[in-house]
Amino acid sequence: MTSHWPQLHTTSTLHPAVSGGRAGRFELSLQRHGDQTRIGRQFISYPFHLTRPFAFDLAIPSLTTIYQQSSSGGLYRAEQLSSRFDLGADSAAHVTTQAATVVHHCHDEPARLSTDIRLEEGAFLALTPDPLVLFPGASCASSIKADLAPGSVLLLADAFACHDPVGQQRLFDRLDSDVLLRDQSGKLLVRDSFAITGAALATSASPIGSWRVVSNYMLAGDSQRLPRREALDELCGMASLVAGVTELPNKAGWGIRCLSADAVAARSFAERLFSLSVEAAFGVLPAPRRK
Amino acid sequence: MSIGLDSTLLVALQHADSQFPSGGFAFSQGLEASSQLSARLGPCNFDDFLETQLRHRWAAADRVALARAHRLAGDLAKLAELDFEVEASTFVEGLRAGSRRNGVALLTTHSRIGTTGAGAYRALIAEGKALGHLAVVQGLLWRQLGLDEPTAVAMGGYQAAASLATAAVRLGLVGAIQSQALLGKALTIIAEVSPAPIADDEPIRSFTPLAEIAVALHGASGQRLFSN
Repeated sequence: MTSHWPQLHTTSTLHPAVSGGRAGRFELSLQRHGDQTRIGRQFISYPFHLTRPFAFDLAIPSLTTIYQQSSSGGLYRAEQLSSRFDLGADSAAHVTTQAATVVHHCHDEPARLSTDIRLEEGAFLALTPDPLVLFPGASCASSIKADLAPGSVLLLADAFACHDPVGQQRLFDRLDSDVLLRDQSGKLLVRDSFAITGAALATSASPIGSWRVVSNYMLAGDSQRLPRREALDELCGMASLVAGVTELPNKAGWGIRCLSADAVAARSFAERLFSLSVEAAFGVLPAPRRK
Repeated sequence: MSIGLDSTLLVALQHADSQFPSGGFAFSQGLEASSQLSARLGPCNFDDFLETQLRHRWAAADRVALARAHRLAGDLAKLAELDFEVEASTFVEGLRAGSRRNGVALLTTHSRIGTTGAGAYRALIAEGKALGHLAVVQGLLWRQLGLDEPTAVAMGGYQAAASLATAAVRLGLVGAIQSQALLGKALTIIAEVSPAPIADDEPIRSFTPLAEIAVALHGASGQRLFSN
């Protein structure tokens, strides 16, 4: 456990007592110092792991890159993992993972992920984890809440695919997802919420048709720092996927639904969207991220 | 032997009838684009499309909003709050705009026939204090007509399915007879999903990404029969 921030959230309702499953926390406070963004307070506990932040983008010194790693090999039954990202004014971060996250059989006790985000004025956060891979019997409930101050930008990526490692087409159990964006006053801007079962995706009436990877994106915040609609529409024309752009409710920004034929297409789309987002916010394309 | 008729059943039949000017004829919820863009999106089978819409959108989104609105018993301020929640919870602009337009059309009809609360809620919309999403308006109006929550939910489900069936016929995807057979099947789905409990603060949920992509792409299409 890395702890420079032990006392702040120990009584938070984000971290209820856990019976049977592990509780892990990944909490970072990022602040702008000069032309760089640096980690301030942090609290990291098993199964999470944090290496040093990376400065991949020489032309964007304020943009720091953080890999949110896990040392446990995925998500397991009844786990309760919480993340928190507080970004100070004009700070900028890209938080991603090194690879997809496997959700193992949960035996009717879902793994629970909660993420809280607070962006102060002018902050930029791209939270782009690789997809969840839902193994047979997997059950996962994810909650993301973000508060956006004026001038800030948030890119949220949320994706999943299902996979049976022995190729028997066994199904995941259930996935619940709830994403809420609010402005600084607490007004609800966007709520994107769904629940889906593996069984529902296995019918001819599957809401994803025959596509394999489901990706949802929100690009929210200061419209002057978001990509143009035309650029996003062009991106949605990529091969091996179908995607559509929409204006988010309450003029919060852009939303994108994307269904891909495979993980390669999904990753390619995600990388190009990240590049577009960084270019729109900073005027410069980002360097490639190593995975 | 006399036959006792429940007058509320007759009211329900009047207001669920496709001849009631509710404005629902203008919307296909992505069916038009799904059928036109099948080479890109994948095969479009109306039977499956209808089931997807009912199970993964209507059951967890429209049904929930309608029931919650019905429970508010004509409290216009709380209905307006719910209206804004529906707005925030509807991801795709084409579906948001369609729901608002359809709701306002229904409200306008009821205002003209004098349904209690219709005029006052229209005034709130005109002032920018409410939006008029269809399910919220249905919950408001059908409660005012004395219909109970299960009846209102049944009417909402029926209208959702019937308007899609009508759209499918207009698009030439199915014939009139086949559409009735599929509508009959849809009724069993509505009956199956409707008893699921709804909390007073139940989130409005949906999972229809393929149809939503179709709606998003539909927005860029020049020639079309339906608004979404």
